[in-house]
Amino acid sequence: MSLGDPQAAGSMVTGPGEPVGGGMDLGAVRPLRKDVWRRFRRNRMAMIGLVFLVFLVIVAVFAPLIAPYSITQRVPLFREGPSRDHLFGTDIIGRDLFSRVVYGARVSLKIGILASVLSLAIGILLGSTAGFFGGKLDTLIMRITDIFLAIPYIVLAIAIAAIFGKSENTIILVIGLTGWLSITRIVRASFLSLTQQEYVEAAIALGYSRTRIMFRHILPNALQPIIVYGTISVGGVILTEAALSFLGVGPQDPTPAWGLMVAQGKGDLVNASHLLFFPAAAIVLTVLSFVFIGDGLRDALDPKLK
Amino acid sequence: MTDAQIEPTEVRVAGSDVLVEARDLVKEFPVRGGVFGRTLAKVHAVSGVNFTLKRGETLGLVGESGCGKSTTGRLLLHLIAPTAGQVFFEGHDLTTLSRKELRKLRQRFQIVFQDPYSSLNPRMTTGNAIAEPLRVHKGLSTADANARVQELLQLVGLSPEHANRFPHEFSGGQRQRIGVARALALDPDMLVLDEPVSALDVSIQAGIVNLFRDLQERLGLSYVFIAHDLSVVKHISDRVAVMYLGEIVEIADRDDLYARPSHPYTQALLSAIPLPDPKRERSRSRIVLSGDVPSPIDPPTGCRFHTRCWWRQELEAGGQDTSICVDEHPDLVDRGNGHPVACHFAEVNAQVV
Repeated sequence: MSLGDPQAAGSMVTGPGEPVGGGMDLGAVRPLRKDVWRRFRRNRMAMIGLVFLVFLVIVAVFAPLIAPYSITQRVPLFREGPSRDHLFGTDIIGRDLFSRVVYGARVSLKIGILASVLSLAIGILLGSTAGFFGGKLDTLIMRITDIFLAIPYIVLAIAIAAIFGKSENTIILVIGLTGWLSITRIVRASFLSLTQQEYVEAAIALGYSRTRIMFRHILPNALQPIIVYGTISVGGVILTEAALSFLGVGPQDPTPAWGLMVAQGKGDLVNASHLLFFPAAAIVLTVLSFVFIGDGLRDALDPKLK
Repeated sequence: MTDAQIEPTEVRVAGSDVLVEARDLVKEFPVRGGVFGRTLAKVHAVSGVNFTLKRGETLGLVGESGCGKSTTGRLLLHLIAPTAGQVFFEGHDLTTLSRKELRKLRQRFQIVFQDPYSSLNPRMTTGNAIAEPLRVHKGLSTADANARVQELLQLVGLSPEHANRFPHEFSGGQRQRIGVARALALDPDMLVLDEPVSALDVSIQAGIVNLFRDLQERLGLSYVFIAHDLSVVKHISDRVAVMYLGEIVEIADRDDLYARPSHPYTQALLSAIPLPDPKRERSRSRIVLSGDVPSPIDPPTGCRFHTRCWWRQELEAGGQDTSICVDEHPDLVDRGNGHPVACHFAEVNAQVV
């Protein structure tokens, strides 16, 4: 259950039509779901974000069909600008940049979503525990959070990368293990206020287990800020991944990570700006679409707006 | 304050007839502050409450807001743990049960809340909210649970197709009926009704109160009916306990209490009930209490009511020594008025009725 819900929250990222309630009231959630979709559709920026995201997912899934070259294939053209053969030009060692940016969608989406799901899972588990049980457990968890907040995440990232090596999985781990802090705080705050609700008291009076109360009665009502934050955080993760790759902590060369490509292109900013421009544009558009979707969800999930 | 002698005859005679007994219930909430969250003071929410509830009986619990009546209700259900004292449900001491035993026993006593808007989970359909206890405790299949949900909805005066709707699609009165259906799902013996009609439209109130009476007749339920509206309590209760600042100041059979109120506080409350007959309404004397309820953090010494007691003021004006009100706490015992009263100068005053 504890893992099922964060995943449900994570799946909201790819489709706002997913069930919000989770569990056995799937069929009954429908009217609520319809409302959410209706309100979401009215937000133009969110819809643009969603369309771009769908496009990006298609690109990622069908990358081998779309990309004319493989990510390692080299042609005897170095740092060439965009042309008909090479839409985005070629990089410093003669690889087709368009193909690499297309494959990069896979890397970025995978890292973005998996790292977000990981930090959501940790954050929801710790935050709900702290907010629901309160007392000493709450103090303990919040102090641990404070300690993590006090460590610069770059330092932590470099430390984890030093232990596990530099790869996509490492970066997922790094971002997942540093991104849960704010989620923990958000979830804790929601749980603290929702625990005071009478329907929670009613659930206690009905003799439900504490796990059931936490995950069936409180969590579904706390999901709104979690979903919104989770969506926006995917964009943030992609940025972090770019920053870490830029610093050399992220995935290494043949991997077509957008951030890495930006890092590699920075030396030729003046004479071959396309090396930096295309992967950077991909990052910006992807991050923006996640932020817009998150904003749209924030409004769509607010039941007070009709 | 250890009023173990209170209504001893009733406790002994009743035997298996007694469903719930509250014994010397005390609840104090700490007021924390400062950097280290030290306990600075205590709110004396409930201070030594004793009573019993028989099967099929309705006990009305009345008093001003903040007098501890809702806290008492929650203590009865062990939704909060008492600071001292015990609650016995059919002889089981709720304070000593394990978490598991308590959860099982919870099927027998339920609560209906004041606010029908916050007492239902907004993300759960009516059907699911009512079916959930059945699935959790009785392990019913979805089909069996649904059949029972239909039954319960009809029992509380709703129609079966309401099962697929969400709480926000109902009116306050309908929501309260859903809350009742949920509370009844497990066939409880006792319901604590925590101001169940206070938040409702006056036109709806009667319908809900009559629903409670009807359900009691059909299912043999026992009620603890918490309210601040004495006319509603009169309508539904068999016995009435009047609370002031965390203590029961007078407890009696309904008719006895309303005909022969003996505590000055009860008399003040009764005199505030509007009468439907304008002639009688005009001719009757009304007791208006002055001042606010004292803070439960630092309740008055002796009789907790002495700071606002109109009767004490009258007695003093008549030259009588009332220092005992300040110095000595009055026990809740029968002082020759036919029922227990916690007042040193208890005297029946039928004028206010």
